[in-house]
Amino acid sequence: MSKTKVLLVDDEEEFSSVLAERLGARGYEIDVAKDGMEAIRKVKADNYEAIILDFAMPGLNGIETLEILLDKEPDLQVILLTGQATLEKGVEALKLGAQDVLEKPADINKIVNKIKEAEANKMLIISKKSEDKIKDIMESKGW
Amino acid sequence: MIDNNEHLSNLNFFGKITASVTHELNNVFSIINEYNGLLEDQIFMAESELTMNIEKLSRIQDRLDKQIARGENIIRNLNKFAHSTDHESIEFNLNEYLENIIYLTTRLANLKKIKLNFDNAIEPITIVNNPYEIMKNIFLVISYLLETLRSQSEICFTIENNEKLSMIILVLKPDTENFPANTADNLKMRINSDMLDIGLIEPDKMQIMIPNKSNVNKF
Repeated sequence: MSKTKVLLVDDEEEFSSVLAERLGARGYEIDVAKDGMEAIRKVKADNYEAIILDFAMPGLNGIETLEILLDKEPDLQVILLTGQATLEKGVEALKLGAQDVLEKPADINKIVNKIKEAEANKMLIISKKSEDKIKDIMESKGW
Repeated sequence: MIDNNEHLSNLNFFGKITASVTHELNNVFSIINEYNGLLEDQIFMAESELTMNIEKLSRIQDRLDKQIARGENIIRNLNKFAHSTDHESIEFNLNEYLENIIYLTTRLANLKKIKLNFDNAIEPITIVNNPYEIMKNIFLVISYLLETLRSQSEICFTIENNEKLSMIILVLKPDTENFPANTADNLKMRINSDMLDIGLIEPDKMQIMIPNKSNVNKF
């Protein structure tokens, strides 16, 4: 069975590297990006079950990155992980379609639970899409 | 008695610096938190496997030491900044305070992908003035430049000194880049002209003049 693939996006490379090591020990396949542009390139090239995204980064910030990512792939499951979560920014991220907003430092079990939720959400979306596709085929055939 | 605009400007300055620095400090705690978690993982594995990876533990300890030193440096700089309001006029080393405000604004510059470099003078540059006001006005200069310069720019700061005033020289890199038109004029509208004056020496070279009030009262 293939591992759940997660992309960590944070300009604090040491933070990403340790969190990646800890999530790796829990069975996840982790990829890292140090800014929004790199994240966009990686998402274009690969499939991730969840994206863990920092708010404040050089260049594109978390909200801008989130907007671009969801515009390209609306089904992406993005969890914002931030050290400067104001209520307004959190609400803005959720309105844009983020799965959740977590505050740094976050408990590893909380992060793992959010990844599991992301995975389940993605499965639901895929299964719903398959059902719709089958329904369309059946309708087009008049069955 | 300070007027309402100046009061707001002071609050804005303090707010921006503390928001940025505490965010940086939170990053340090987040990394320490992850290393602490990694230690817990190692202990859990050692309990079940009855072996301890000493090399890994030593690596974690080394990284923790570095983050603690980083955190201490942040606190030291924030504390120095907070104490800059202690005296309205005092003899101080301009080098130290310039280094302090550049340190405190580096994260804001990093977010804009602009590099701030400070060439610390070997000898102390001792002047009499108000350190808080000097730092606030230099912050206003840096903030304006962060708004107007393009990313990947680099601003190099050095200090030159003479009897009556000290000059902070800002040189822009790469060599192909110049300060945008009207930079000096626009900056003059933002800063307190009793504290410092600004002029462009060359298209890529600007000077901030700071009076030494032990010799002169104002420009």
